Amino acid sequence: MTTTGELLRRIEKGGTLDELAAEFGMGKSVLMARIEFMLRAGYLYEISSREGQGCMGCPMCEMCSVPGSGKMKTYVLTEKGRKYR
Amino acid sequence: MLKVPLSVDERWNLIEKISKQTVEFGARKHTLKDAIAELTVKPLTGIPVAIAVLYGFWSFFIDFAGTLFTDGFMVRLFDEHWLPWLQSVFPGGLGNPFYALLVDAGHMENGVLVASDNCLESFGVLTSGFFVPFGVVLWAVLAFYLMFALLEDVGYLPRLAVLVDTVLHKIGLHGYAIVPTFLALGCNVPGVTATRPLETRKQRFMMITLLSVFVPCGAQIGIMQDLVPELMGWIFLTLVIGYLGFGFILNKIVAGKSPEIIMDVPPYRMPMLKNIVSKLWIRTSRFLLVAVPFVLLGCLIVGLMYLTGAMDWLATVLGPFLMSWFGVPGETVAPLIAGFLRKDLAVGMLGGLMEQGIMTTFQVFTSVVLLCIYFPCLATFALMLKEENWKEFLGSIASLIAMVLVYGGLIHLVGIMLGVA
Repeated sequence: MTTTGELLRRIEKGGTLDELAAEFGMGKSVLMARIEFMLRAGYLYEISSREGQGCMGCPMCEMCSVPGSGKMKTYVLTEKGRKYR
Repeated sequence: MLKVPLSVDERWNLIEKISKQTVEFGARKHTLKDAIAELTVKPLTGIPVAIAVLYGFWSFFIDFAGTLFTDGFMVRLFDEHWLPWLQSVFPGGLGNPFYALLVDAGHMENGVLVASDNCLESFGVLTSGFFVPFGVVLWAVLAFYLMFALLEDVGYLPRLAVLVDTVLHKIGLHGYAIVPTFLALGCNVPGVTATRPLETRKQRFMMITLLSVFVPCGAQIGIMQDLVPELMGWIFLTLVIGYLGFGFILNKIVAGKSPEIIMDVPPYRMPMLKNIVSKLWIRTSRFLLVAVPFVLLGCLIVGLMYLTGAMDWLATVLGPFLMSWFGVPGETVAPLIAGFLRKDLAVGMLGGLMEQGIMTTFQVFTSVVLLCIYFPCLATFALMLKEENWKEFLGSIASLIAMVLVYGGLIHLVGIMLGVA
């Protein structure tokens, strides 16, 4: 199993990025870079309020704690990501 | 010299290898902020911290909204000055329909119509209609949103989400479902809106249904705390059991997926006064814009229904069912009807019935829980209509009816078994 596959498998179980970095023994910055790659490759997608699906337009978006708004980033596996792992 | 092409993982391994050889990391100092961040997210220490935070939240809510503003100033202002003044200057007097609608409907004592001595009993548009939103609810909402904004801006909510993740997974939701739930404790309307980023239709449907049934809004909590402070623990326990129990059942019967997510928990930050003030202003002013017209309209409709005899007719027709199934008296019909418009107003009406000695303590408890779960307020209902497709909306309504009948009946049954109903 490749590291990307292992990461995707682990992401499917949920948790936080800090837990993930600790489990894989990598720095959070390296993990963030890998997440960026997986996002671009279409294995993951970021739950975002700014892509028309969420509470876009709310004046408190940048200050809000709702996932996908300014404060809290959340990621979920795509079908492509599920097939890859 | 590299042999190409490298696979994705080989490239990443190479990146890591190069970064290890070329990037030098200084010794990282473990700060107090890091220590707090760890303590609040690990279950062993995080759960006691969460209990302490929620206890502090609740204490501030009661002391600031209930004791200081409502009991300290508003009850006196409305009951000792505003109501007697209106009763003395308003034309018509007791028994006059116009006077009853706007100032005081009065109540019967030994067959005689007597004037009310407080704004919860009087039930006029100018008395109860103003007392409920400005005397009680405004301070409760203000206290709630102030504490919520602080927890939000400090960065505590995502940690709370991580802590409750395991429990909420049992009912097919993620830890971050705690955010819409918490928001709904202020007002159900932004709570329902906050379900938009949820990943699947199943999760949204479940969340919207559970929020609209089992999560009372800040206005309702404020007035419940004012009327039945000794029952609050039981009421919340009943609602939490319902939320988790029916969440578990919905998760089993509703088709669809609940995929896992991974969260990036932001660091703790010092809250900014400007942000707190801005959030407080936006949320409170929106609340007032939605609440006040509905409370006034509710008073007017209920007053008209009493005057025309429609309320007595409904109480006669629905009374036997309410008594036999839920164990509450027929008089509860009036608050249940007012609850379609505003739940806080409806709980306020229950206060009037309590003061007249119509209900036992267990009936008060059952009525308050029923008011929470039987139907969302009109604003939330309208938003559900907008947020869900027809199939989901009908599903929500069907689930809601089933939950009320099953849970309400169950509460009555437990009361009978304990010998208190």
